[in-house]
Amino acid sequence: MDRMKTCSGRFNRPRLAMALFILLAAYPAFCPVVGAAVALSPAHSEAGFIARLLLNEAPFPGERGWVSEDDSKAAMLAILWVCHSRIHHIPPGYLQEHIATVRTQDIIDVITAGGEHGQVDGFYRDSEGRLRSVPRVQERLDYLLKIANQGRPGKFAHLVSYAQALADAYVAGAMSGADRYAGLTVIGRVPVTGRAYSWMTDMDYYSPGGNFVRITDDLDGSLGGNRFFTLRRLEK
Amino acid sequence: MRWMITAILPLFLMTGIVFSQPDGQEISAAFFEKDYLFDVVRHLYRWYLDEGDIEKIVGKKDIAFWLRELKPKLDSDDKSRFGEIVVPDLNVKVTVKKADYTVEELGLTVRCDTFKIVNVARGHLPADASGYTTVTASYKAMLDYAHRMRMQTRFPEEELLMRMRLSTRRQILKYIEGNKAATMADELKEPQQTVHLSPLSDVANEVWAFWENGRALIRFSSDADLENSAMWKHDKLAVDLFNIDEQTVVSLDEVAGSNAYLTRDQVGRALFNCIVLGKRLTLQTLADNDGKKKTETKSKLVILHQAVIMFKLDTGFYPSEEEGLIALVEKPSGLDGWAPGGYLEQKTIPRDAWNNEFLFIRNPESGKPFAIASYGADGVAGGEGFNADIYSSE
Repeated sequence: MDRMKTCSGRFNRPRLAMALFILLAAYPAFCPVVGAAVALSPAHSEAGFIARLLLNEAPFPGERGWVSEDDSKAAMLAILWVCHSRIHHIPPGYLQEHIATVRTQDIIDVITAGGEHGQVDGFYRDSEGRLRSVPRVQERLDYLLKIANQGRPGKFAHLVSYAQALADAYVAGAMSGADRYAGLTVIGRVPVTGRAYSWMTDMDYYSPGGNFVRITDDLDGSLGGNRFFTLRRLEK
Repeated sequence: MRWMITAILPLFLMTGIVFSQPDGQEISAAFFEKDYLFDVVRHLYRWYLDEGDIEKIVGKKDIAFWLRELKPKLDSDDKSRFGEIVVPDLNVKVTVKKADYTVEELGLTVRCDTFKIVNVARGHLPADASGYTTVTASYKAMLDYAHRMRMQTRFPEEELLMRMRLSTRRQILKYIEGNKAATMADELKEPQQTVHLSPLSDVANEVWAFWENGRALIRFSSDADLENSAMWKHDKLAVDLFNIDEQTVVSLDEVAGSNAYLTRDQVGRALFNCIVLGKRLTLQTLADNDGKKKTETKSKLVILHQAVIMFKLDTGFYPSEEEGLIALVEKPSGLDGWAPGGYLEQKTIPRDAWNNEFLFIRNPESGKPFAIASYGADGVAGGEGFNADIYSSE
């Protein structure tokens, strides 16, 4: 308490507030200099590969499925949680192979399971084990990066930076946000495990089958043009 | 704490990020009009409904549409409107969007005159119509309309068709390029590739194309109207390609958890719309068997040629001979409409396979508005065989 009093005595609050306001307000003017270069880690690195996956799965302004910057960011985070949960949150009664078609502790294996048209379309390892994405994916990502690096940083730059930051944090052992689906217990009348274990693009006329349960709109099951799915809770 | 609020609040108010409120504007009356709803049903009839769906409602007097506006949190500069159309009798829920925003980075205004379908979901319907406005229509009138219009098609006008052709060809070239390492099927080596384009929809920004030689479906979809020519400057953001042989299953249960597949039903509908209702196009591509370098050079010429056409579509002018091909990567002064980032993947003009520069010729003898040429293996005009000149307009 004394320390606080000392501090407040040293600084003139209104002046400090004004200075902080001016500083924050002026920040965008420096953005072209500070933030112009948006880059991804190399595609063969773990963080680079994850970031590319997240960018590939989230819509950008003008694309089908676009709602807002927050919505696309939420989709990226939810997708990263799906990959993570396929390793670290296998629900009782399930085997990892049932959910991820692979047995692994490595997120890259989860992403590349099944090859070029496997669990995540377009992301795979080649015959020599190198991380690859199909040319169509690469072309879009190159284009997004090119746009993100033109002029003042806008939504493109924000989304690219966000994906890389998410991936970097993940590789460093942290998740930059909570799993919004972790607490799900029932959808409709179906008991579910909580967490999401799959996502599909917005043509959700069909379900992904098996024990996957569609997370409904009222539970934010649709993010960034993707539909998320949890799992049916199995009887003990 | 108050001083902090004093500092930050005006900033938020300036940006409108946190405190922006819905403007209270009522959803467009057009959303509730039966003509619009019938067009939505017509789209469903063409792309989603089966005999079983219709059988369930045969003999009904009326069909109900439950309508409501959706209010997702949008960016502060986005005035788009979202709506939901539930057709309980068809067990279908349709999400629609009337886009209205600007993508500053692309110089693209995304504004649709009508609500466009962005999602169709089977099942998961609300239990009742509370919270919705109900519009009722005669079942017979609706079905008559869908039946009467079932074969009526609308295709792109010349400019849009040209852009679609170019974009489709680019996809095909990209696919062939990506599959060079594998044994290329004979069909892919054909210099002419056949594509079937589905009709345009009045209520969806989506068009499919079936590439016959490659046995692949190509989907063009966007938040912007496909007829907005500015959208096609960024077609890399609007295209998906599905290999029918590898990516079709009867049930997604076969590949549970994977997001890479289409069901046979989806593929069947797409093929019907592309082949039976669609427009057949023939595209010239790179392939011939005159030698690797000649093929590579032809491939580069195709890319450069279509880049020049895109340049013309965007700016209204062809590059002059003085400006040359460099105008594809460096904006000529005083030119409006030039695409941000230019018209080629790289920032330099490629050379032919013998490392010679391409020539850009305006008004060549062929009578075409322009041609791009390689002098072949010998690097000088004329010659035969691999020394022969190669023209992009051939």
